[in-house]
Amino acid sequence: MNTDDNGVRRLRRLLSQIIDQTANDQEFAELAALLAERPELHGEYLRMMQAEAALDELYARMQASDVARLGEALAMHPSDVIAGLAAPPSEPNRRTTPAQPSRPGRLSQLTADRLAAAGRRAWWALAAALLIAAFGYAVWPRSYGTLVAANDALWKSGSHCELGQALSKQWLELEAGAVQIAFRSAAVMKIEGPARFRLDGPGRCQLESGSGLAYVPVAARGFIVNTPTMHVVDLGTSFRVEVDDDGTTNLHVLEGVVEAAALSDDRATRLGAGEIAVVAAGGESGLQASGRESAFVRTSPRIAFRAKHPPALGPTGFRGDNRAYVFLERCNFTLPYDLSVNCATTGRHVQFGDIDGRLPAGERVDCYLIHSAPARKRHAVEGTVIFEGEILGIVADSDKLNATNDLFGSPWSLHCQHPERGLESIPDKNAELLEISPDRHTLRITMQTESVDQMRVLVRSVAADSLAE
Amino acid sequence: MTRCHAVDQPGLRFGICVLFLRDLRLVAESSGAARKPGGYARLGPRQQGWTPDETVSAMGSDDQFVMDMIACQRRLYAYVLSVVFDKERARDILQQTNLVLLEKKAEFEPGTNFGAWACRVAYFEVLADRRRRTRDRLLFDDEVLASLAKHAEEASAHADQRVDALETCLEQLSAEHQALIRERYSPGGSVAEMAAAASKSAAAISSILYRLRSTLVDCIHKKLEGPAAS
Repeated sequence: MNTDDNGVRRLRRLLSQIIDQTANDQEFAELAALLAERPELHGEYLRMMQAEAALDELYARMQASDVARLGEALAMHPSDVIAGLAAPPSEPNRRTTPAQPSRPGRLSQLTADRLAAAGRRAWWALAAALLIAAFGYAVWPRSYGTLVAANDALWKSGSHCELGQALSKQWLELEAGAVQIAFRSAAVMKIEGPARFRLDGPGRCQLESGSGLAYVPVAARGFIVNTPTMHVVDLGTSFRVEVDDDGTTNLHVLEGVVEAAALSDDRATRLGAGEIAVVAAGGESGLQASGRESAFVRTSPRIAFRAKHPPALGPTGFRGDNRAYVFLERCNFTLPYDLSVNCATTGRHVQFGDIDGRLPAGERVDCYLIHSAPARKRHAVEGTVIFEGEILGIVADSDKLNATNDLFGSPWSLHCQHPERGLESIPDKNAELLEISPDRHTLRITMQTESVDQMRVLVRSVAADSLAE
Repeated sequence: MTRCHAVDQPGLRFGICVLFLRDLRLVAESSGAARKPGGYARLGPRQQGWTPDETVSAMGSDDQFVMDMIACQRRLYAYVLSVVFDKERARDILQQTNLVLLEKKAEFEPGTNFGAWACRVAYFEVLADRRRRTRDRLLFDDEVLASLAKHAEEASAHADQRVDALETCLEQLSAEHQALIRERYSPGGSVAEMAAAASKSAAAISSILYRLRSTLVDCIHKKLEGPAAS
């Protein structure tokens, strides 16, 4: 790249002006001509646009948050909507927006102007949507999403849904199993029974009880999940919500940012990847956020805790020589059935193919995934992980790890199905050694890894409980 | 789904949200969907051939597809924005691309390059969008568009690393310049309003932003390509 090139400089200036919507028609034409006549500038053009996409990606979260709040406000005041329809203001052409009269130093005025402008845009969009919706109401069914997958789904009588069925605003009760719903906004949500839920819009869902795991792509930012005690707005990209029968709601952000608020309290709290929050039944105590989930796990230098979940986790993901990583996969989860584990007793473990114990159905657990994958051919990791809760059991065998993916893994983050992801037993040359301390809080690890080694450590849930207290 | 189409009339430009009620084709395909004990039932033509080995990972292929789709969202947005130029349009096309990807799930061959396949699907959505916008002036002719799309597919493959590099590069800017970028990209931020608030001309603000963008582009390029890039 030669930035001394006049063509590069001119291209950058033109692009910058167009991005800022200050370019005129002549400058648009000049850019088109430049790219048509000088193909060698295509790379530079793409560098600039890709950087612009990255900038947009970083700052779009704030935008989604504000839009969502505005939408909420509008939804609460239908009379204002009608008033807005009566006299909608016009908006200037975006490309040729002239500079506004100078208002030196009045940042608050600027903010007010922006809100007003956003409001005007929203009026127009809302007005148009309402007019067309009124016409379309009689012609088209209102469907907000589609049931795209089901796993042993058992519906309560009267709630039965077929695969592929378009879902509208009606309460659905899933007694057992799990379903995936693709919302029209392009958000995808996995709901695990027993659950009672309703789609309230193309980007909005009410979860009265049960567990929901949402992935919200860029196009669907602002996706909303309401529970009896919590209001969650996703600013991208995934989170898990667990709603108890009494309405207590646990939120675990897997990636990106969400805004959450207790229904009894309008103050929204912004939570990043790895953070958890609880609103207890009744909601009087408001939303209690954890800070980081790392507050509940301490690691030695060679084993690092990672709050942000990677997009995929296999032999080629999250590699690091002589290092292992700990992720919180699932927080405050009630085991739906008895679960056998490879390590349950305190002391040393060098065999991982057998069943060492069984965790009873109904146990509340936090599940941590420990992942080791060397960048070079082979590595060794030694260290300790200290958990706030007691270690109840460890799933270390490959088949068992894969079999519990559905239970603990989040499909769009920590899923891995490598056939040899489990720990090796003695006398294998890569045999691992685990030691559970007598007080069950410390796990000492010695791992030797050639491709990938993983284990799931099930810990008595303390994170959400300690917040709710 | 709701799709937004821009309407450009003298003195009047706004988005009309058209209720776009085409259901996923999955609906039609699902009538005979196979059901697999202990696993996710899948839609579409890939209904046959359940094997016992698949029981554990029944949900796997569906979820793998969704994972792949999710993993390439940032790449797809960068790709589409590079060839359509307009952020609203890019988000609209991305939304449509996501639905088409779900529809065409059965056509994807596991083990092949998902990102490249998704970019090709997105490209057809870009072309469809251009056809719908015959009244709009098109910035690029077909030849330039095809060339940019070809190179954008490769360039966008590093979208995740680019965002990481950008975060580091932003930290290297002065606090004043960081604030300026934040102001520009915050909700409703525009050069005209920034100029009004700062009592400067729009051209002056635009000029500063041009220099900052150039700095960021060079910095990202160096971080992605190494010192040799300069």
